[in-house]
Amino acid sequence: MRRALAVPAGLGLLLLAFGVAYSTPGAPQVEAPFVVTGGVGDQIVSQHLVATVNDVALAEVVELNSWTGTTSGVWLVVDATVEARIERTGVEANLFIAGVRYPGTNRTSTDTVDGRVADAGFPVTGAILIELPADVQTMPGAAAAVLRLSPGIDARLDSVIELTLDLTPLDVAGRVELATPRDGAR
Amino acid sequence: MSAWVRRNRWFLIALGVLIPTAIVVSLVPRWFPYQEIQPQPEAVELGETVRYSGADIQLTALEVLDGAEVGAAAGADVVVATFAIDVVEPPEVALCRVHIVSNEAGFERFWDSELFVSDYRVPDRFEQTCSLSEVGSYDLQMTFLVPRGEVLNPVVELSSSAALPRVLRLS
Amino acid sequence: MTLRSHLRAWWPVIAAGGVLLTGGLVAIPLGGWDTVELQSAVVPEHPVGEPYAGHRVSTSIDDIYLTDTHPDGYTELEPGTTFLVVVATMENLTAEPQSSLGSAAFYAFTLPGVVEPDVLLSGSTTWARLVRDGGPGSTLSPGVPDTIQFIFMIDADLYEAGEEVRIGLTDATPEQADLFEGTRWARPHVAVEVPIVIREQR
Repeated sequence: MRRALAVPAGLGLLLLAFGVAYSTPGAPQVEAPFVVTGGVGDQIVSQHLVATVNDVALAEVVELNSWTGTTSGVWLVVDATVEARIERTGVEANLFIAGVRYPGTNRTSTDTVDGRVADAGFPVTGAILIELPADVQTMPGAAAAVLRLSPGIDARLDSVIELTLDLTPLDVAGRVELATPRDGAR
Repeated sequence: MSAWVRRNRWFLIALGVLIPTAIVVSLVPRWFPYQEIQPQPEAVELGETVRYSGADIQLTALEVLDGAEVGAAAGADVVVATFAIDVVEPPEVALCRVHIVSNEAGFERFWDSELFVSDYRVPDRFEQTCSLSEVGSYDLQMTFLVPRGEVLNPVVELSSSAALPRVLRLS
Repeated sequence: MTLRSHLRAWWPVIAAGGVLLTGGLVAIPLGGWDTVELQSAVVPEHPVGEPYAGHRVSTSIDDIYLTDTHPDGYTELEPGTTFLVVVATMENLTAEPQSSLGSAAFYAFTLPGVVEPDVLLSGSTTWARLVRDGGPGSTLSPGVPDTIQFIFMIDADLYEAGEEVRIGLTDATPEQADLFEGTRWARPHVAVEVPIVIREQR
């Protein structure tokens, strides 16, 4: 009986070993951020930030303060209210489409709510601007783009806020006028 | 089955002891040192003098100013904290940090000091930044912006890099 | 053994040696022993204004000129220097934002005497500006091409207007990095060269 079981048992253990090796999480899984999700209009609370995404749009040209932003692609315009939850912290915005990372723009100095610091109990409402390829709406993954708000550029093992956005049905406005960040909720 | 268990009972008992022990031992090099470096707050009353990081430190005044009355930004009040500091035995390197702490929201929140946040002006006789690296005594006054109406009982947290994990919480 | 049997045994070696000696003697009046240029080491030329797609970025060199006026309108020259401006249209072909110029280990392009591999560029004498609005041009988002002015403060006598320069467009092989998260660029090299005449724009 034992001899008859030896071969299948050995093969079974071999398969188990394969399974263990194959399913062992790699660095991306081990170091993944702790995600808090929500939708447009929801107040989303992570360890560091409290954020509400009020509106999402696409535009070819944006006007912000004295700057007119043109692009060879298209702008993702996010209106958001952001505050720190516990202490002064940075606010970084990134959009992920099928694993490709698009950062919040650095072309506007501090006139967006990302790229600056937020303080606890002081919500600030303003725009987040992200340059995307001109054909983004037809790209794979555009229906499930992920907007991530994090306290720093390196989000590994950190608490972050994420929203899933469907970019495909959005109309692309020709020109959008935006206001600089203002104190308070929307 | 029970015969097998009986035959191997001592080995099974040993496993039952050794596996948890191995887990604890593997955590020891990280868990206890981590716990040791966590800030250890020490409560200090207003007016009480305490020796900290080679200096005698006393919180002499702590008040919350109505933000609207002092022209602070909308949605903000101003906390003014005043200290008497006598640096007696300065450490070689001491980075001093001061925050306002409040747990009135149900969890602790912190605010940094800021200059020129309202019409309130710190009188010239006060220093506005904390320093514990040179011998001498001085009066320190710092202002902080806090959310309007949300910080009624502020606590001042003062820490020195040379004295960590010990930190002072003065109120 | 007789001489004849020795010769018979060694004749392949003798014949080969004879051929080599004859070739060597014949080569002398015909130019001597010139080394042959390895064709794989020859860097092909690439036209101005045409994008070259590497693994990291696609780059097209559009213009190069000397000027004493910084495009930002206010940065002053050090004594004995001038500005050399390279205008390039670039597109990030990766899945992460990329520095437009790259880093010393892997610059997007080389320019003799100005941008050399493994030589650090000073942040106080190098700028990257977007042509469209003068905004910061140091970061490229994936899939969003843009035209960038790379401005270098150089010795005034390094180049002159009318001189031809060969700008090397580089490439490297992306590999999974071991010591940090992300991509390591292995074997950076100049893939093509763009011969271009330096204009003068005062």
